[in-house]
Amino acid sequence: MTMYDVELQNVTKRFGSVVAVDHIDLCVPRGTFLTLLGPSGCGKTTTLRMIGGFEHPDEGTIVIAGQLMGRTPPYRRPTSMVFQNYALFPHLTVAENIAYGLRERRLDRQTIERRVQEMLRLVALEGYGNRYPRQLSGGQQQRVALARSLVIEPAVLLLDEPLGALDLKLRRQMQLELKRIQNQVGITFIYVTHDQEEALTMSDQIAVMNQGRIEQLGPPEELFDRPRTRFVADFLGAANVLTAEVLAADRTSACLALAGGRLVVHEPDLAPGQTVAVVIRPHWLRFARDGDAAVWQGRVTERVYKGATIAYRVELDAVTAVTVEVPTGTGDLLPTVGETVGLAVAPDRVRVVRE
Amino acid sequence: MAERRRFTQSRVRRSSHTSLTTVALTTLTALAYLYLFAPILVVVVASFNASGLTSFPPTGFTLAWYRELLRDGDLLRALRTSVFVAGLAALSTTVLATLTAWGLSRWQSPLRRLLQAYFYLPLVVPGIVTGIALVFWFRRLGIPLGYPSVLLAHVVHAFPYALALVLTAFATLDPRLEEASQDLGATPFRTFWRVTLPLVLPGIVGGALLSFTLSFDEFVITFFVTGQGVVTLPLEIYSRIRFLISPVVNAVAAFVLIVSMLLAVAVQLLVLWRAQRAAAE
Amino acid sequence: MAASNVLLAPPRRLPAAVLLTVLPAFLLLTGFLLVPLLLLALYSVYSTDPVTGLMRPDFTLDNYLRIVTSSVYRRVFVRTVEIAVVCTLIALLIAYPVGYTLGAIVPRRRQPFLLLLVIVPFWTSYIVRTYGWIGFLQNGGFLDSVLSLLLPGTVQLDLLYSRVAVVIGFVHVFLPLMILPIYAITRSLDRRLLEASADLGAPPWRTFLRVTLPLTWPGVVAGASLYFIAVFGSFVTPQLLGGTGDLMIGNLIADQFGEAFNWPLGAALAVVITLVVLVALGIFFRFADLERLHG
Repeated sequence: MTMYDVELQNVTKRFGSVVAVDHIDLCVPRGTFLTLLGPSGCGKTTTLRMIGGFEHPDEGTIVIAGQLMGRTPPYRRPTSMVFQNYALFPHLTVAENIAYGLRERRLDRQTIERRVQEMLRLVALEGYGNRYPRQLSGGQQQRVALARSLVIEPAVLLLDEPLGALDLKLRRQMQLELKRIQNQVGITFIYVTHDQEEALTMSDQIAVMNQGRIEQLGPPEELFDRPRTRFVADFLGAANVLTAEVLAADRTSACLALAGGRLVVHEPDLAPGQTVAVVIRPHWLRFARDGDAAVWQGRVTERVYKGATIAYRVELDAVTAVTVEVPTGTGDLLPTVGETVGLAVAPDRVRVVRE
Repeated sequence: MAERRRFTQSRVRRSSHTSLTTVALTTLTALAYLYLFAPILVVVVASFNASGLTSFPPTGFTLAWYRELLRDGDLLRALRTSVFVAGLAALSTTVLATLTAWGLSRWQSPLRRLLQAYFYLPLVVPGIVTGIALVFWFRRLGIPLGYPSVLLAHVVHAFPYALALVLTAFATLDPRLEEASQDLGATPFRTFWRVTLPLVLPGIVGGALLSFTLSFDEFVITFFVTGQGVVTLPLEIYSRIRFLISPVVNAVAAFVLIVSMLLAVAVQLLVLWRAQRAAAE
Repeated sequence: MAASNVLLAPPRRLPAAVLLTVLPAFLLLTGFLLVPLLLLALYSVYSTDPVTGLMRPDFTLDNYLRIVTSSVYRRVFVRTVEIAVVCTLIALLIAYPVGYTLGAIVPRRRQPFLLLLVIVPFWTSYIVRTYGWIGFLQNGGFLDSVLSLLLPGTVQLDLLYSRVAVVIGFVHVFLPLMILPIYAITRSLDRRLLEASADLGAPPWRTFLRVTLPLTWPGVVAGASLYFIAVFGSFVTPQLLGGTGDLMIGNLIADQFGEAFNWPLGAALAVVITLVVLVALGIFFRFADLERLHG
């Protein structure tokens, strides 16, 4: 018995000349909420559909719950999918939709009836069993789709941008709800989205995908605080990406020159003279106070009030400008447009990334 | 301020003009509808007219012409022939169209478009050309003109219409529904039975009713490919009205009109019902 | 999302099962439409034995020559074109406002019902509807009696068995063919474009000429081509409503099977009709954006 529910090894999928998924490896431990995050066309949906059995890999193997899948059709896989637009059967009632998979499993009527009621309770839709999908709101339809998939007790639940059609408020509410349900049923969820906020809120693990490959896999905090590539830094949250030159380096750290400032970062394997990309999140930067060592001097060109924070645009030199985000209401005296300021950053916050 | 005034004025002018145009267009449309239904109304009214004539006003109400119709052996025989032919033609056309639509909807390539265009060929060949081409061919093959030739011709004639309806039904079917069904454990066969068929059924029934109507009303091709003993109702009516107008023909014509219109309404309601359901989702 | 649409599309490869399902229809249409049409073309270059009147497998263009040189045939051909063009124009004058009203003026929820009223007559027997015009137009018929009620003592119109009757019958019988594409394209017309035009200072008639008409033109061409094709190959309407001076090519063909029984000549006439239809279809596909008509 393996501890992984889903294992992808060297999986590749091509459509004609387009490589949709490019030799990816992925292991999902049992009970994990894993999100495949990336822009459209990055291969996340194809990956999900291969796990579900709707597409078959051209290369590589997929193992689900310890079984090698090969060309096993969807109806013989221990997975279940919540589709992007729910794909509820329009000619069946909510209860019949939920009972669909149970009837395929030849369960007796009482069992089906009981399980359907349990599911309706789980997704907070008691009393809606006799309605048709079109009589429900988007959020309710979403819950029915979830119930319909969960009721057949899959080892892995696949979710293909299930919240995409909902409005922002409902989406936030459903995010929490999905997380609650996942905790309650305890099975593996693989969730596909292009919404980074959604990914950060719900996931135990996030795999950021780009051009058919996984750029980085890890818990949300790790991806956010320690992005390994420029793409990951850009895709998850706002980031200042600057070009720096390595002035000096030893085994554990390096001294970088960027936009006229100097920084020592804890980053191994750099060579003097090398040019690298550096990521600094706007909220890692702060205005240098008296006695604070300013790394850069710059001029404030823009100030945007955002409620909890204020975003500043600061020009460091003729070609480089950075965004700085500072909290409001701290009582600190904040600079105005046109003012010259000093900027500081904690060295352990600065990330050197791959292009 | 000035700008705002100009804006309001232009709005007022526009809307008053629009309403005038609207009245004119609506009136014209109403007249066009009258024109579309005029001959139909004349026949239906005349069929109940005591005088048996199409003149206005009618002299009185009578069912005499319908009673006479019931005694008219030739017309009744023609009616039976038409129902028989149309029934068989509708059945074969629908089976064929459903099979074809299923296949086409499962396959996407430039070749598919070409094939689909080919299937619509009967739509653009004038009936008279189809008619004589078929006569030549049946003679050449030695197929006797009669029920088989009429039936084949009717299936060819009705096929593209039925195909279009069924194909639309398949096209509006979300492929994800079939995937969802398989995902929930249903085999392809079970999926067809539990999801695909129920969802495309209105299209299939529509196709069947439409094929029936088309076959029942077909005249031009039938005129050529029919043989001894196969006189469909349109042929019988045609042979009678070439020479004189008769009240009993009014009755059978009114009957045909009403049956066809009911079938047409049924098909359209099915199509509409589908469209509205699709819109509701 | 573009990528997932590609993924949801049915497979490109052609599985054997799919081939089996489309094969019967393919065979039917090939065996009982395409091959017969080719045979028709073949027969049109056969000759007829002047003594027995039987067809001889030959290669001759005599039938076509006869159609081109004979003044009778030329007259009928010109007349057929004339009738078809006149009917198409009149039908357009009626169908455009109707299609426009249905698509742009009538509220959406009432459109299906009004559309139904256009489609229903189209699906009822051609013969019977044409028969209705006999009763409507004949002396002592509906129109005649209504007129004499309103204006006693007027002369009889003698409309039946005239060119006017043929045009009235034709315009009526295929009118929905024209209304439907115009309706479809008007319905998909973005109303904001008209508002934008008005907003930029164009009076309504200029808006119509510069925005509405160009945008609905594909629907007009589509409707007109389909309509023209339908009229061009007909023979029932002139037979039932027209006089001897109103016969069309279709009637000539029908006669080659009745009294005259000259198959090669009939075949050649049918080929001529088909050629005209092909030209009309060419125009149809050249100008009509089919995707938009269905949108």
